[in-house]
Amino acid sequence: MLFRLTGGDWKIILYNLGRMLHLLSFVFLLPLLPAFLYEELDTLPYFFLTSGLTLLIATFLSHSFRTEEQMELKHALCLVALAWLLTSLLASFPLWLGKACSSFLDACFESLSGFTGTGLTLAVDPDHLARSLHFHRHLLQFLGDGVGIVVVSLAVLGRTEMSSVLAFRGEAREEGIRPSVIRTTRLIFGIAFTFFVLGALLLTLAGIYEGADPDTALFDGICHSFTGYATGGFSPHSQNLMYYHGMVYEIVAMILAVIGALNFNLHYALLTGRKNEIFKNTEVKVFFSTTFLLCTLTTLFLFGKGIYASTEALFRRGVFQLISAQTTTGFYTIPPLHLVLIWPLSLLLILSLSMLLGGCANSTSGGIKSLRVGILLKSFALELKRPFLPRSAVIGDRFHHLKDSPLTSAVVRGAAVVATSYLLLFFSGTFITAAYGYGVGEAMFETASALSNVGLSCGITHPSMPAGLKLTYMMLMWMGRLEVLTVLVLLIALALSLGRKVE
Amino acid sequence: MMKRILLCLLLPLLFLPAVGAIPVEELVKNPQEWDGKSLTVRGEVVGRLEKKEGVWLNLLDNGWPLGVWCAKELAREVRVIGDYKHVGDTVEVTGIFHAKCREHGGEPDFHAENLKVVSEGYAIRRPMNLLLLTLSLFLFLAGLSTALFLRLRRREPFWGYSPESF
Amino acid sequence: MAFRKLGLRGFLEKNWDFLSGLVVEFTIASALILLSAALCFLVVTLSSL
Repeated sequence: MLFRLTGGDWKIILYNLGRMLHLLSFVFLLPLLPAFLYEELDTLPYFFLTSGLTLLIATFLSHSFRTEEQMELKHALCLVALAWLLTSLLASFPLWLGKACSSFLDACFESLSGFTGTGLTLAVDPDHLARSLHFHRHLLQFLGDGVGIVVVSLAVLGRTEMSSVLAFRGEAREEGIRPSVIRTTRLIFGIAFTFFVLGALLLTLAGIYEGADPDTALFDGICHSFTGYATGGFSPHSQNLMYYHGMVYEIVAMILAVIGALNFNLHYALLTGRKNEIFKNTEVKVFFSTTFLLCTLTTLFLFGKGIYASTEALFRRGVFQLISAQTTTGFYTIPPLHLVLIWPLSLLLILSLSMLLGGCANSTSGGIKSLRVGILLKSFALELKRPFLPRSAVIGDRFHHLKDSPLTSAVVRGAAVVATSYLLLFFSGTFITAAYGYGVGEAMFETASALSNVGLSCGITHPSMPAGLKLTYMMLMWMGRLEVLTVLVLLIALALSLGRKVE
Repeated sequence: MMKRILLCLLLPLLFLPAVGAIPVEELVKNPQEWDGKSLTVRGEVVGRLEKKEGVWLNLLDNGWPLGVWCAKELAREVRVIGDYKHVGDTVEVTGIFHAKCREHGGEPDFHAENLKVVSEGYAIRRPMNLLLLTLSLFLFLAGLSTALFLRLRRREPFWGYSPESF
Repeated sequence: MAFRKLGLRGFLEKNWDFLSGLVVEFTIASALILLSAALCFLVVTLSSL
């Protein structure tokens, strides 16, 4: 029977989940470093408790469900979906204990937003939050979205290469860079770490240039580099990047976000001498074209409506927001409410579209992804040509993504399925938000932000938000990060398993 | 006796918002209404950036932030910046609010003409919760020892892969 | 260590692809942002003509 998982299947899933949590339990100890450095010793218990709890759960799972059976695709998909949820739940403990959020639900929302690289925040008073807790929040984004911690864990702890390959697919990273997944994981981590270090250095220097003291500039540089490269969007300040009031800082952050939105395979190609790839790659062309086109529309609208009249204002407010949306980063340079109060509705819709389109596939970005958009556009163009050609004519097209590939119906179908599922979720989320009394434009914007893991808000995401809406956005963030299908497989499997028990 | 009665009557006034101070929340929610107007705002200083031409002070008023641009001489009065270990100086600033400041690239900001520290910042004591620390260490050690014990019993290395994989 | 063994020239030669790749990445990202800034400038300038 399709999707139905047996007891043996659940054993494989839970056993591997336990093994993965073993590694994560030590990752949760990393914020101890800033806790000691900044003498925030009262925060030590939060991380020891979280780590200890994770270790106990990991040990229970890996010992009680021990099995020699190998993972198949169905196990990997369910494992990844469960792992993301459980890890976010565990990562919420330091935030809840440290009173970073006003309730346990808010803490779960915050950690899921971090882990999925979204950046929508329910943190209360971030300006007075401990640096160790800020480090924890920002590290979640880097590891969850920037690196893909599930794959790393399984690569380190997994039994066989196959388990890692399957988890790779489950975590919405479709192409392997190198034949061995272990080496691929190592490369992904290496690339991410390189950009993190460079980003932290540049942002620290930019922060000092903008007038911050070196200590603040360094800590903020590290945090913003974590979340900039991971296209996450968290910030240690309630003003986000507006804290720095500086164009230089904003430009460096934008550069890091664009780099984060590029495909890992492209990074690998560029870093190993294949520079031409950047000009031949269909996805890069689509990403840059759509970004530039939407920047043009944004600039024209903002200038035409008289909202901003100077080059600097158009660039720092308009272009920045658009690039932040398109790369699904979520940094902002205008107060969220101004998107509704000052910007016209048409721009809210342009930003929503930009968020849904997203960055490149196999990058830290969310959204439908430029590769799928490019494939669908090419397919659309082919269908337009068809009526004008003889019946017997055979037409086709190709696209270049690291290599030339034919545009087959299987490829188009794959892209269409993901795009359709995104759009269905988008409409569902918009409907639910509007049902809570919010305007349609705002509902579309906030839903697109949650679903595409962006993090820009027009004011809806707030601790006073209804609990039902918080749960809705958590679901959207989770499904968006894993590109919908992974989560659906888990939910269907769970429903069928429970259904069989009731029978 | 009279002095005590007077003190009891006057003390609550210290906790009232300053007469004429507009909440920052109001400025954020109705920017067009207050754009270009001369007014007073009040808030805790949570950030300070020294530029060549002046100083940016980031104020926080009941969770609502605002950037204040002021002369270096005015900003000199601010001593304590708010963070995890400190409540920053609470200042009252009089000046002009801009919903989209032309000088600062369209940013909503406040240009200060006068600044006054109404209450000085102070250090926050954050004592260690010994019960929580004990519980957390116990949990961590219990988890670690259980994991190691079961691994050793099965004679397995802690990590699943051999070093050659890397 | 590799730097000391090889010297600057040797280090650059050995890691040329990687270092030049980093430069290309930053240049491309900067180019997009620069183009967008130029666009803003054009819009403002052309409207005043």
